[in-house]
Amino acid sequence: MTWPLFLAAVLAIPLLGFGAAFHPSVRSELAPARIAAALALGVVALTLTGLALTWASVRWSLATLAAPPLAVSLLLGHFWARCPAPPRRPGHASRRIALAATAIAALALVLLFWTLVTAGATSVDYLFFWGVKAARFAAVRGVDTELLRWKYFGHAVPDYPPSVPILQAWGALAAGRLPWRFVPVCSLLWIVAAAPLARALLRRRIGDDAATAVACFWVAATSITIAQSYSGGNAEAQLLFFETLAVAALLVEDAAAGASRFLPALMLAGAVLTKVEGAAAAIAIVAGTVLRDALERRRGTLRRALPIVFAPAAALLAWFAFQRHIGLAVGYSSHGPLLGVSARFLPSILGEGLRNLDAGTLWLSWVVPIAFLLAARPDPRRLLPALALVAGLCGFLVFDYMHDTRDPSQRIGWTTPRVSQSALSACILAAGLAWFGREPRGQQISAAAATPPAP
Amino acid sequence: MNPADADPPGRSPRLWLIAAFALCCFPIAARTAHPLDEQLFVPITPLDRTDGARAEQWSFLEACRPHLPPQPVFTIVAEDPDAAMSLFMMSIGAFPDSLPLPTMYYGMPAPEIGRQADFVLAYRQPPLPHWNLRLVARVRHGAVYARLPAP
Repeated sequence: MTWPLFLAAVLAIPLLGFGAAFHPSVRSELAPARIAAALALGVVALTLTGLALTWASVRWSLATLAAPPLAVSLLLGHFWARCPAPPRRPGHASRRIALAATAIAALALVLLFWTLVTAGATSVDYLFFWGVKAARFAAVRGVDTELLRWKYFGHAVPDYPPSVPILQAWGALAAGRLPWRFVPVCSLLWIVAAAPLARALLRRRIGDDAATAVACFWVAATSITIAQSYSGGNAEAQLLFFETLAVAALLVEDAAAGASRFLPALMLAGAVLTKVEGAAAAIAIVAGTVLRDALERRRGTLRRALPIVFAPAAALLAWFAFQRHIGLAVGYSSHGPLLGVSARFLPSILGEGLRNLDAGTLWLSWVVPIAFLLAARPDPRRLLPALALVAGLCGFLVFDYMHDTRDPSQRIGWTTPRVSQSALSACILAAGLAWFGREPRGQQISAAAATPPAP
Repeated sequence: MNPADADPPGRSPRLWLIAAFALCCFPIAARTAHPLDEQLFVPITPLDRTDGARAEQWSFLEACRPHLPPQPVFTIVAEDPDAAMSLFMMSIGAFPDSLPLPTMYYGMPAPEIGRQADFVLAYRQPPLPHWNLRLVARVRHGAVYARLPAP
C-alpha cells in the first residue's frame, strides 16, 4: 500500500511552506486559505531545494529535501508573524447560499474524484514523461541529469520545468515507489486547495455570498474540465492553482499603493516552475497588471511591478541556470523558428480551437462568465490582469499552432482542452468581479473621506 | 451590514449557483449513459478508461516485471512502431531502476542500440531469429527473452 504514504507526503507540503501562512496579506484569513498560501510556498521551496541539492551533489531524502524549506519557513514565519496584518472583514454570509455552494462544489469534486480514481481522466503524458521523470528522480535520489541529457529521452521534453516531477518524486520517496494508479487522483487536491483562497481573495472586493457563488462556479467548471481534458497526473491542475491565485490576488488588490504583492509574486514563481505555459501566462498577467496600474494612474506602477517581475524571473533563471549546469540546451525549444508562422491553417486553427473549448459542458463553462461579463459592462481596465491572461493565452496558442507545417487539428484536440483551462479560470474570476464588484475598497474609503458632509 | 457587503441590486449569487449546478449535470449525464457494470469496473492500469491501447501496453510491461532481474538492461520490440515507441517511453518510468534501450525510436530503427540489451520484451511479435535469444516466459500479449552468451 504505497498510496497512503504518497498522499501523506503530498499533504505535508503545506507544512514545508508554513511560513507563508503568517504573511500579513493572508494571516487574517481562515485556515484553509492560509494553507493554500503555505502550499504554494512549499511547492516553490521544494522545487528549488530539489534543484539545489542535485547541483550540490547531495542525495535526496525526505530529510534533505524538507530541511531547507522548513528553515526558510521558520525564518519568514517568525519575521512575518511580527508584522501587523489588516483585520479580516467580518463575514455576512447567508447560511443557505453557503450550504448550497458547498453542496454543489462537493458534488463537482466527488465527480472529479470518481473519474480520477477510476482511471477515467489520466493524462497519457503522465505515463510518457511527467511520472517517468518522477520515478527516475526518486530512484536516483536527485534530478536524473544523465537521463535528461540522453539522446533517447528527447521525447520527454527535458527542458520542461521541474516542479511536477520533483513533487511526485517527493511522494515516491516517502512511499518507496511511485503509486502510478493513485498519483492522478492528487490532481484533485489543487482544486480543493485553491478554492478557499480564491474565495478569500474575492471577498475583499465583493460580498461574501457573491464570493462563495463565484468560487463554487469556479470549482464546478475547473473540476469538469480537468476530467474532460484528461489532466490527471500531469501539470495542468498545479498550473491552474498557481495562475488562478495569481490573477485573483492581482484583481482584488487595493488601488492604494502599498498593498503587498507577496502572494501574486509567489504564485507566478510557482507557475513558471510548473510548465512552459506558466512563463507565457506570467508575462501576460504581469503585462495586464502594469497596464491596468498605468491606465488607472495608480501610484508606483513600475516599483510595484518589481516583485511580480522579479519572482517569476528568478524562478525561471534558476531553472535555466540548472539546465546550463547539467549541460542541457538553455531555454525552451519552440516548434520551429520563432517567426516561422503561416496563416495557411488559420481557419482550421480557429475552428478546431473553438470546438475544443467546450470544457466538457458544451461551452456552458465559458458562456456563463462571458454573458455575465458582457451584461455587467464593467470598466475593462480593472479586469486587465485576468483579461490579459485570457487574450494572451489564446493568442499564444494560435501563434504556436501557426508554426505547424501540417494541419494542426489533431494537436489542437490534444492540447487546447488542457492548456485553455487557465484562461477559463481567469474569465470566471473577471466575470465574478465585474458582475458583483464595486470600486476597490481603498478607493471607496478615499472617496468617502473626500466627500464633504451634507449640509 | 456594511453596504459594501451587499450584492448589487438584481445580481443574486443564486444565478451563479444555478449555473454551477447546471455544469455538474454534464458529467452526471455522461456517467449515467454507461451501464452500471462498466461504472463499477475496477481499473487495473492508469489508462484503462482513457486509452485502451496504452493500457494494454502498460499491462504487458507489468506482466514482464516478475521475469526480469533487478536493474535489467532490456529492449522492447513490437511490430507497430507507435506501440514500440509508447512501450519504450512508459518502460523508462515503469522500471525506474533499469536501463531500457530502444530498438526503434520515433519509427527510426536503432537495432544497434537495442541489441546491447540483456533482455528482450517482445510485444505481440517474436523477436528476430538471429538475435540469439532464449525464451524466459510467455506473458499476456507477448514474451520475455534473454540474450544467450556468445558462443
